[in-house]
Amino acid sequence: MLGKLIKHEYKATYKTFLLLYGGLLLLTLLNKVNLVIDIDNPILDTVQTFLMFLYMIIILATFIVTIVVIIMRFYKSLLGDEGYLSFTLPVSAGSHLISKLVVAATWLVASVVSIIISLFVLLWDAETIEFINKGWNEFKNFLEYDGAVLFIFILIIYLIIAVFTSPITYYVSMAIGQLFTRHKLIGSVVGYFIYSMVSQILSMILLVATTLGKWDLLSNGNVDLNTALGANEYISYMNNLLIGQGIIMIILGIGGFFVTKILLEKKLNLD
Amino acid sequence: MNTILECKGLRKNYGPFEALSGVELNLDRGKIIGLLGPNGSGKTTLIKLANGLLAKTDGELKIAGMEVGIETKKIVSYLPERTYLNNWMKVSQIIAYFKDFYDNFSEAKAYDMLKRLDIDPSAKLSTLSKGTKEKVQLILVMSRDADLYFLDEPIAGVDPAARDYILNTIITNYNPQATIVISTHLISDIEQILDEVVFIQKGKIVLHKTVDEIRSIEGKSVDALFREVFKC
Repeated sequence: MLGKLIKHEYKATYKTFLLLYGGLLLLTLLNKVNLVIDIDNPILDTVQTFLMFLYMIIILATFIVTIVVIIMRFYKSLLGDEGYLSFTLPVSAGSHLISKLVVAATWLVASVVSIIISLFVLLWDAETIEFINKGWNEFKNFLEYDGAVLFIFILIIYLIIAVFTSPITYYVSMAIGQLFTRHKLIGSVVGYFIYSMVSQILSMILLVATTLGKWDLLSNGNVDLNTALGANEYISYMNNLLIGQGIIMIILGIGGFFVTKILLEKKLNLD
Repeated sequence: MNTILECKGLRKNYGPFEALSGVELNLDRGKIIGLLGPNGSGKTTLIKLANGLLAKTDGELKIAGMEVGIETKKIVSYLPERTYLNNWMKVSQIIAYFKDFYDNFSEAKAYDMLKRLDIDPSAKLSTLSKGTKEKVQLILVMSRDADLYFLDEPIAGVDPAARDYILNTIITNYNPQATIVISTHLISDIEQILDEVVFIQKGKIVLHKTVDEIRSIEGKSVDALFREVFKC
């Protein structure tokens, strides 16, 4: 049943994203052509400026639409009128939640990847290639330090966790919000603030705990980051911070998942 | 095991408000039952509880001997009083959707009814009129071979001609082992198809009788009895 839910969830959302990525592709190519020809002409200049403006709009829109679709799909199909159908399917609330989450994560990744590819295409010229080469070499140097490979590894894991935990933040907020019979929207906003606040407080505690006794490292010049020893110490500090932050995200994510699941199971309050 | 639905001391509170206060009810298989009561008497609350759209406050509610859950949802077919159709599917896609999730859904039955009610399967749900949407929902619900049907105001929004067809569909299309619970205000329209009636008032069952009993013993129609019991 979970597979069927996921299939229908993709069906419900793919058109919006195809349109969005199609628009992004079109504007990327138009702007690329403009950058390549680069003729000096006042009319063409205006067109170029306008196209660049549209390009920035669509980059912004890609982020906003992705988040809005993730939120609206959950709200409409589970907590709105469509919930009458969703919750009378012979499917558990957990399956509904997982299907929404998997599809939301897919679109988040797809949107970010689309934007990165678009920027690459747009900025791809001799100068950029040289810049990237330089960056790559520096990156390889960086990997020589102790803990640097670990740092990259942790960073990737961290990003993967974030892709799944950020939709959960919205889901748990809305699941709390629907408890308020009259003020579901305000309830959702309140839910969001409560969840964010818990997350902020935990992050602050972590930051203070990991930074305690490391003031040398961050403030005065006692530790020289240009020496291998200083850099290693700094990387190890960053690793601890990222691991701690990742653990907080996992705990909050799993907590948020189960709170949402239990609220949908036991406290569903459809109008 | 002839009981399909069983409620014992079933209660549902919304905050301080008691929507159901100790419902005692046993419904047998193979009956068409009218769930009748004034506005706000608890009809929809009872139906939502039976479909797992609300969580009960206290008491017992069992369908075919089971607590409400995935297993009961497989055998209960529910027509809510509102439109639950999304706006991105076509009629044919929502039929495929039902077929995907309900093992007891008959696609052939659904297409047959669509044809008879002159509804285009390739039409988008968002373009349908309110009445047509209600017809589509009823078709979806009645195309399932369920053990228990809940029809909440099934005929309120459609024209009288379609009303006759729908009532006809209800009595001819369901299997004799299944029970249909119909909640409505339009009592005289459905009276002739009912086997039993349940009167509900202020969250309590006040009467549960067969239509024959009402007619022969009380010498009244269900409509007349309703007006008497719920006199304002």
